[in-house]
This record gives sequence, structure tokens and C-alpha cells, in this order.
Amino acid sequence: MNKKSVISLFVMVIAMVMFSSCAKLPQVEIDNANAAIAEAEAASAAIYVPAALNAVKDTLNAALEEIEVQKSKLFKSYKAPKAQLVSVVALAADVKVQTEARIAELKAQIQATLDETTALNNENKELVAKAPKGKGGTTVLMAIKGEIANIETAVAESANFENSENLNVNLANVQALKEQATSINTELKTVIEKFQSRK
Amino acid sequence: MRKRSVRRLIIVAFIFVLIGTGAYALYKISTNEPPVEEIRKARENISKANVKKADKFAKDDLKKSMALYDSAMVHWERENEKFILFRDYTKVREFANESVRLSSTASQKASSSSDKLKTEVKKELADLKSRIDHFKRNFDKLPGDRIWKQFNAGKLKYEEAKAAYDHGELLEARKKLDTAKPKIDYCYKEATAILEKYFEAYPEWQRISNAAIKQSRSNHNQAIIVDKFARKCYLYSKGELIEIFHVDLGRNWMGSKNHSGDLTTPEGSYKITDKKERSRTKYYKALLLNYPNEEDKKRFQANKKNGIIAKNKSIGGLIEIHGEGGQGADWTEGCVALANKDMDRLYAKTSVGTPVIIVGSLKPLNTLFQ
Repeated sequence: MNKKSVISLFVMVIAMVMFSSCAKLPQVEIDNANAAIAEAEAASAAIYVPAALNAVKDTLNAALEEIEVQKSKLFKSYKAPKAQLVSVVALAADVKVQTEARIAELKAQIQATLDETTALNNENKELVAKAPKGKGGTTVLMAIKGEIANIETAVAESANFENSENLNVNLANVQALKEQATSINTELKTVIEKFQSRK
Repeated sequence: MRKRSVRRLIIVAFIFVLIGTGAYALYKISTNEPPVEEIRKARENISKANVKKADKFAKDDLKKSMALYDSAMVHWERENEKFILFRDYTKVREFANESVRLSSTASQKASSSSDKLKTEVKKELADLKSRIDHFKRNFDKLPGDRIWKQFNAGKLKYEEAKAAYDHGELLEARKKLDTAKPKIDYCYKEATAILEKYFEAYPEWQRISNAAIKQSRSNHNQAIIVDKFARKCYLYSKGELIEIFHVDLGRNWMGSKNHSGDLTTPEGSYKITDKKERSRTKYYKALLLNYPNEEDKKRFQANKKNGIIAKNKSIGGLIEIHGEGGQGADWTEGCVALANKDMDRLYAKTSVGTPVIIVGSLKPLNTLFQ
């Protein structure tokens, strides 16, 4: 082996080592993925589609782990984690869309339930006027009137749900109001029906 | 010649060093595995804990686990910045393994807390529903806006708690229950206190009703006893019960009458002073009572003196047992109302001077509730 070959071999080895460390870290893709997840979180995905958000974050973490795996190697390739990070951006955008859709759905449900409760409550007021006073006595009728008034107040308060932090809670609350109004409605109708059949 | 040998020796030595270093490097690389499995396991365990809602039921453990995972990643990144031969992943593995341990704990705690809370809330919802139904059944005759307002508010919170439970929002259901229960408890406490105070007069009610029955027996005449709580009018003849009628009372029936317009049916010993029918009454038939009696007058004066009644109030009068009742409601301004067909029978069997005893209850308080 002559001097030239040894030096060439040496240079080749050094060059291989240097070039193997030169694969570029997909920092832009990492930043884009983080930004996309931050947008989904800002849209309240954690409240409305928590499982989907956690799945996206999991995918991001898997991509970051893969990056470190590649960094650990002599010959790095960030092709796979780069592709994962690009998919994270798409997934996070989808999560944001899902969140917005869920919020719109909840708002529509809440408004519909409030409208139904108001209609029931108005009907209940008319039924109370028609109810025979023998409906358990004045005290019970007064209690029912009190419940109707309470429901009316609660409906008015619940109407301000646009900026609520958690519409799931608002929906449960208005469904409870509707449940109460329905129960009063059934009670009054049963009593009026019995009274009319006796006449 | 000598120079060429030395040069050859140096080159061979250099090649051996290079090969030796290369072999050592390869050895180090092959034995210093990056902590891929440990990190992956830590991440997956955190995901599992999230599925179990550890973020709600084992927040602290999950938070610490996530912090340890982040620390593991940061350390891994740091070690990867170093030259390959100087990397040491021991710390990274320690963080990752500790993260796995904590997230496993968080998962277990979350499962057990969530199950426990679900059972707890389910039972408390059933108990509270039972108390609400019981209160409505037993205290429905109780007048008083304040109690019913609280009751309705408590009932509404119960419905919200139930709706939250049905939606799987256990913590929200717990919160609503904690608001509902004190309201219903307050209603029970207040209602019980009101009734206990009212029933302090029970011994006197018992005494005057027994005396009236005894007198009816000894005088061979009629006596009327009105039991306000039961909404019943009992007609005795010669000490024997001969008729029972349902009655309607004043809207504010509980207690003894204090003044005109208080809508209370008076309590005490009275008698029929007049019998009216046709154009003499707008209530079909009526039996006028001698309210206020002497006791009523004394109480009225005392109450005025003590400032319990306003100076401009009058004692009231024209308390009757009359018809147009049978509405099942307390609608009168203090009179006792019977259905017309019942009024016919009572009217026929009584006369001016017939004793009329009006009491809160003929039964003691502890026997009255279902």
C-alpha cells in the first residue's frame, strides 16, 4: 500500500463521517407541527375533542422520538419523521375543524333545547290557569308556579351561552331545565284529563 | 533504508490505531443503544392514562409523568448533541422509566377514583330524588314562599346533576349535587322546625277536642271538630262520630288567626251563632261562628301591644263554615268550606249553639308522615 492510497483512504473515512452528520434536521416541519397543534388547542380542542387532540400530540411525540433515534445514528435520515410531521399538521388542522363543528353542533342543540323549554314553560303557564284547584291544593299549584318561574329565570340566564368555556355543561343544564318543564307539563295534563273525564 | 523502515513502521502503527479506534467506536455504538423502547413505552403509557381520564382523576401523577417524559426527551436531545463516543443515555432511561411508573399509577388511580365517584354519585342521586319526592308528598300542604323557592331551586340543581351524570360528566354531577343537597336539607330543616313549632299546641288541641266529644256525649247533642292538617270536618252526635267531610281552608291555613286579611283559619273553641242560606249567603249555605271569641280578643290585644300586629289592623270576623268548597285547594280568606252536598248534610244536622272546635291536628306530628 503506498502513501497516496493510505491518505486517500483516510480522507474518505473522514469525509464519510462528516457527511453522515450532515442530514438536515426538519426544524421547519417541527415548528409547523407545533403551530398547528397550538391552533387546535386555541380552538378549545382539549374540551370538545380531547381524544382526537391527544392522538395528534401522540403522533407529534412519536415523530420527535424518531428524530432523536436518527440523531443517535451514524448515518441519519429524517425522511420518515419529516413525513410524520407533515401528517401532524394535516391531523391538527382536521382536529381544529372537528372542534369548530362540535361547538356549532352544541350551540344549535342548546338553542333548540332552550326554545323547546320556553314553549313548554309557556304551555305550562296556560295549563296552570286551567288546572282544577283540586290539583293537590293551592300550595302545590303555588309550588308549580314557583317552578315555572324558576325555569323561566334559568332559561333567561342560560340564553347567554355564546362565550361559555364549556358548552357541554351548558347543554346538560338546559336539558335539565327541559326535563323539569316536561315533567310539570305531563303532571298538569294528566290532572286536567282526569278532571275533565270526571265532569 | 533505515528511514524507509521507520516510515513503514509509523504507517502500520497508524493503521492499527485507526483500526483499533474504529473497532472501539463500533463497539461503543453497538452497546450504547439509544433509549427508544423506554421512551416509546413512556409515551404510550401517558396516552393510556389520558384515555382513563387521569387528567381529571389523577392530575398530579399524570402531570409529573409528563414532565419526566419531557425531561427524558430533553436529555436525549442533549446526549445526541455530543460526539457519538461520549453519549450516555442512563439519565434518559431513568427519566423514561420513572415516567412509566407514574403514568401507570395515574391510570390505576384514575380508574379506581372514577369508578368510586360513579357509584357514589349514582347513590346520592337516588337518595336525593327520594328526599325530594318525600318532601313533596309530605309537606305539600305547607304554606310559605321561602321554603318552596329553595325547594324548586334545589330540585333544579338535582336535575342538572342527573343530566351531568347521564352525560358521563361525573365531576360536574358531583358539583351540582353538592349545591342541590344543602337546599333540600334546608327545606327539610325549615319545614320540620315550622311543624314542630306549630305542633307545640297539640296538647291543647287534644284537650279541647276531647272535651267537645265528652260534652256531646253528656249533653246528647252535636259537636263539630275541624282538623286543619287533615283537611277534615268531623260531626259528632251524642259523642259518636257520624259524618266526616273534606274541607278547604284559608290560603295561609297554618297557625291561629291574628287579624283580618291574614287568610288564616282560626283555631279554638267556637259555636254556631247563625245559620244562613239562599239570599243571606253567597256560599250556598253558611254556619256563622262566634269568631273572635274572648281568647282571640285577648291574643289580638297582646299582639298589638307587642307590635306583632300593626296598629291599623282589625281582628276580623265573619268566619263561617260554608259551601262552594270541595275544590281541593285552600282558597278561602279564613273560612272552612265544604262541597255543597256535604254542606247540606252538616247544615241539616246542626243548629245555633252547636260547638265548633277547630284544631291544627287530631294526630301527633310523629304519626303524620309517610
